[in-house]
Amino acid sequence: MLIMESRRIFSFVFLAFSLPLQIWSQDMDKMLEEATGSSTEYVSATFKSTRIINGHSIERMPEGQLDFRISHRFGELNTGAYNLWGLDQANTHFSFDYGLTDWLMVGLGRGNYEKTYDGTLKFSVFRQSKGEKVMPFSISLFTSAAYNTLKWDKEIPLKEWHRMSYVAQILVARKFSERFSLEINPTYVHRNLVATEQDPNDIWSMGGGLRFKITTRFAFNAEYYYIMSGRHDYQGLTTYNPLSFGVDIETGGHVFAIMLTNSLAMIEKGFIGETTGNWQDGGIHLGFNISRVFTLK
Amino acid sequence: MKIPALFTAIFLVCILVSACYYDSEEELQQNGNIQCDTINVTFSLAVKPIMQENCYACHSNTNFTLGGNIKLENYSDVILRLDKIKGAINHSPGFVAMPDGAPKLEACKIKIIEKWIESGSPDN
Repeated sequence: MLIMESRRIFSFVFLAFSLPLQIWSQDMDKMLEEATGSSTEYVSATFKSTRIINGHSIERMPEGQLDFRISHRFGELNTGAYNLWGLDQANTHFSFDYGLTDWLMVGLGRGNYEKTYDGTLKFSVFRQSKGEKVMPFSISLFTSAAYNTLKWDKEIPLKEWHRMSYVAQILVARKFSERFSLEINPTYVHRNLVATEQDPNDIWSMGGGLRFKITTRFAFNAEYYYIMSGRHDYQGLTTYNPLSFGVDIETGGHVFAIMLTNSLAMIEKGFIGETTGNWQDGGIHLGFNISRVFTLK
Repeated sequence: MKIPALFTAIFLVCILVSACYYDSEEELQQNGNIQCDTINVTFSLAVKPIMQENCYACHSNTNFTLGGNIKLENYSDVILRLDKIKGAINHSPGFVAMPDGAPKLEACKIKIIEKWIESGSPDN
């Protein structure tokens, strides 16, 4: 009797869980049919989420989906036991990225690094595909504008535009195999106001990122930006090229990324040209990104 | 749908890019008059501190031999050379540009010294 009862419960639970899966798989079939009206096969999941580690990946949200992301970077590991190797300090950034269409994503974010608000646009120009239409790479354009809201207590008159900085990027990625993807990001950062005449308003940089999938739920990522501008100084501190390593862990609905990076900021304007941590001196920040996708449409 | 939206987006980006400034705090400080108070210029509180910072490495009462035996520490010495000081700090033709081996003084500092000379170079 007891066994019968537990079997019935088990069947009910199984049905309850499998029903949405069946509906979902029917949707997927329909979408696949639509997508494969021509025999072009588009590559998906070149990267796990819209960011590689700090910088943007080729991925964007599909139409009607919202990605809510909270990112966190602790202090530098070399601050010692007194600061629990950086864990006492917290730097956060949260963002909402929404797919207006399947090829255009808009985003809004706010980080406590210089109390900055940022708006982003990411267009998908080409998608890597095979079959009827062959495209070896995916190409997206990314642009963002950031507005710093720090209190200004200096006597120099400040225009509102001085608080702005802009970023333009060309994201070029290729998924070489199920496991390995690579991305190259030529990047331009413009800062309307810098500290001294020697500091460049324009920064040119070449970024690169890779993903190596270890299991279906676990992937290794790395990211590096080479900064071409000659002067490596930010407010009297030496700056370094940002280098980050991380892992993505997919936990059913969430993507959880843990990383080690030498940059504190989580927006392009901040980590390109303002990274003051040095890997060789232990100027490394532990950090994580948590991403949750909501379907709004 | 895709093409008009793309043009709108490019248009928006153009607006943002047209709002690009190439400014630095250093430049704004030099150009701005906010800190440049030329209303109540005195020798002891306005002119002498500028000279102390920029001229006395070679023109004080003790090391004037480094600066061609020209002393600029006492009021009585300064008023003998007002035209030369004005020409030197402005890097005017026919004058030896001062401070020697350093960039031209900030615009505000030059303005303060000129204002003091124009107002009759009082010993105040």
